Amino acid sequence: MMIKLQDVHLHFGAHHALRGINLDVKQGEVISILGPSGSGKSTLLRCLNLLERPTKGKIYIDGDNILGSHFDVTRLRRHVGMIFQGFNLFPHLTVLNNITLAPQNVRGLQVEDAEERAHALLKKVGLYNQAHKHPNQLSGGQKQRVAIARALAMEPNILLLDEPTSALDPEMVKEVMCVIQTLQEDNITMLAVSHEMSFAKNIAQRLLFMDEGQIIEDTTPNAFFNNPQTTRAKAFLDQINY
Amino acid sequence: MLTKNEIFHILSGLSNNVLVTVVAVCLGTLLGATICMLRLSRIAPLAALARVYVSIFRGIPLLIQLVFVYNGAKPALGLDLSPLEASLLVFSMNSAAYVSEIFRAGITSIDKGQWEAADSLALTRFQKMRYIIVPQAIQKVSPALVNELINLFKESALVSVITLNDIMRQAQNTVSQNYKYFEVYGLVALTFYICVLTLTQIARLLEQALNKSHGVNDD
Ligand SMILES: Nc1ncnc2c1ncn2[C@@H]1O[C@H](COP(=O)(O)OP(=O)(O)OP(=O)(O)O)[C@@H](O)[C@H]1O
Ligand SMILES: [Mg+2]
Repeated sequence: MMIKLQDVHLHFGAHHALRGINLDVKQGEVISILGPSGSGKSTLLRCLNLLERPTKGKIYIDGDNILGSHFDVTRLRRHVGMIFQGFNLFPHLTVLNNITLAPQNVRGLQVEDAEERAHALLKKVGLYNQAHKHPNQLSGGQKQRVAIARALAMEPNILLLDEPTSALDPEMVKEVMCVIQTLQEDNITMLAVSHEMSFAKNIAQRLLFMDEGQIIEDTTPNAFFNNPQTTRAKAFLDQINY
Repeated sequence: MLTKNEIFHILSGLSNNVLVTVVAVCLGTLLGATICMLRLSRIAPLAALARVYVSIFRGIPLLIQLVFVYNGAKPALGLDLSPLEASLLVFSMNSAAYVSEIFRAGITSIDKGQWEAADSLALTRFQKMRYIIVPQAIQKVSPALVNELINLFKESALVSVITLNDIMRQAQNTVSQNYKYFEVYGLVALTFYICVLTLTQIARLLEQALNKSHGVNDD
């Protein structure tokens, strides 16, 4: 098992945001996480690269107990990439340097190697000639594709996507989704929170439905959309269908 | 009217105002950056020390700091400071307190998403500061830093009190001989005003150039 969560709880002060998460994820699985606002989807993702720290429970990634007191967080983050709703590109750096910064400084790549790889990734996300622009010269869809290239430059084997297309205009959603679709071929384990149904329906193999800090359905997208088991899931689906 | 000699005598004091300002800005920026780092460090005693430093230098009027250090260094520490030494010391340390707060405001104003993106790329705390946070913070606070420079320059007239021969003290010397209060102090006021206007204008041009190069504020 590549990712294993055992009875994970997280409290924000008095607020109990995750209430006993148990989850096993296999290498290469592509998982879509759905659920109403405030159900803890982002919090769950952010626990997997320790942007948030659970208050109770165990998380194993690649056999490492990542909540162990001597565990080196940067070691985990080297192979767990994250894509944010707001892109979070570095505005003072060019597109190229956004992508090469971490490979050079964290993985120790030489400039030429990092840049060569960055150019290849930009080609992959369809932005081959934008390397020397600054982020503020790009459209939202282009920014998110740069963010994807930046994460891929670390050669992650796990990619966390938190509403990667929610801040985008409809026509840009498609270009970003196309790029995400190509990642399947790379055997990257992906967990994505996305209200974009095309991700759940066309890309994901597995679907988690969360409610009030718990995973209340763990199933396939097909089964979930055609035959939801819980009343909460039915209510959720009714809502998004209108 | 003032004679050429009188005008020259008064204006020659300006070099001391410039000297105090330039040294205070340079040392104050270096020291201020250090204090800011201490203030933000996770070692509680260091952070507390930095906080006390800032509160002292911001809480006591500059004039009092000057007089106290100039006159108090000898009885307290056996240090015989010249007016210039005392001025440079006090202005640098005072400026450091303000600059450290400017830097701190700049650093804490950087969007949470920038920190998280840097974290998610496995950058260490130092790398995150060095490559992501500090460069953006410096761009953001550069107008405030220029403002601090202008303030220092204006306040540099205070050094006349501890007998450093700046423009103000030269003016006082002149006026005690020719009694031309209006002309002498008018000249001092006009000189400061022209200098400050010039600095403000340069600052505005710099800011425009920075904004043009690339927007820090969007995204
Ligand atoms: N840093 C925080 N401090 C306090 N409460 C928080 C914090 N982050 C999240 N929460 C709370 O925890 C709960 C879960 O938040 P989370 O962001 O995981 O929800 P979500 O499922 O991602 O929702 P959305 O669909 O709106 O993004 C929410 O009630 C939220 O208000
Ligand atoms: Mg969320």
